[in-house]
Amino acid sequence: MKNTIYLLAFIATFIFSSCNRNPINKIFDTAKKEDNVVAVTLPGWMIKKWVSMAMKNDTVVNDVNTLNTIAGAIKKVRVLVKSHSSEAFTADMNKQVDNLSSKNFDTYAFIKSDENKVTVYGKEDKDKLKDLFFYVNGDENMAILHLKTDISIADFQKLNLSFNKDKQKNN
Amino acid sequence: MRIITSFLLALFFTATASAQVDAIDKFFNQYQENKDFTVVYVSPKMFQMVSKATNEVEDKELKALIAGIKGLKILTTKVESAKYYAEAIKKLPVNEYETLITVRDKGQNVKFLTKGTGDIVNELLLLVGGGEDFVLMSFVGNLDLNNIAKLAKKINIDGAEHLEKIGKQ
Repeated sequence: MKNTIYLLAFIATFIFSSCNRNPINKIFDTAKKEDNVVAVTLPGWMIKKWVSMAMKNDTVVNDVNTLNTIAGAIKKVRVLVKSHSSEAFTADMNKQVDNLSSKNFDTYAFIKSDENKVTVYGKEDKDKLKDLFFYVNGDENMAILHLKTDISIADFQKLNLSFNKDKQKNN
Repeated sequence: MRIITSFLLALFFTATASAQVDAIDKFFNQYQENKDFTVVYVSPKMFQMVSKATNEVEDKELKALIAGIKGLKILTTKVESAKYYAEAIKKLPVNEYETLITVRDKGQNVKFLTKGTGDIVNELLLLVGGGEDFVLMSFVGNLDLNNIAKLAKKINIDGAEHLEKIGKQ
């Protein structure tokens, strides 16, 4: 009897975890099974290092330390590029990406020019940006970029972005 | 009786507002997949984030403007601009907006349509057509017209340069 309960509990846990599988992981897993795919995962510490090096001479961001804090809150970056996409694959990807809206992701922006479409999705939880997902869909090529983050809205406020280019030049 | 009248009035205004947004959305959706068109949509969430990250001292007015924007949609094409302009005028409920500016120059028409009172408007619609480009730009939110022109200078999007005309009024 005890074994049966354990088995049922195991099955229930498995089914529950499958249903709640991260939709972004599912998108990456689906794409990785295809041919002509290049996928790269970068750890957070590497991103922080690069951002720190690249932003040393930046004029838009007033506080490099804040930017480092934000870069430090990026846990992982995944990039996947696929060429020669079939119509069936594109349709499947579009369906999965469209489905993100029902999985607590918000559409932040959408840009379409010629054959290329870029959609940006974000997921927030308790005043923190947890996921940022870019879907670039071209004629036969596709690229997806996922940033797993833990950026607080307060950190965004500290960014103090300035669009006052003239003032920056003068400085 | 008064309650029923109020309810019917509320229902009427809700239905009217919804129909206007629907007409614009419908027009965007109609051409969203057309390869001749460039489409840009920026959600309120995105504006909220940019607003929070914007410098409060150097860009105070811009920050306030961005915070007030509830959505931005842009539809542009360089093909048959006169045809699409005429179609937009016909399909969109332009008579329900107040015409802020109308410019006709060398065959190109530029129309700024607004909803709201004074310098603060709830909706700004820009329609350009007849020349090289067709542009339909829809801003929704609490928009200070004095600051819209400043925003135009900051965003590098086709058609945004027309917004600078507001500042010249």
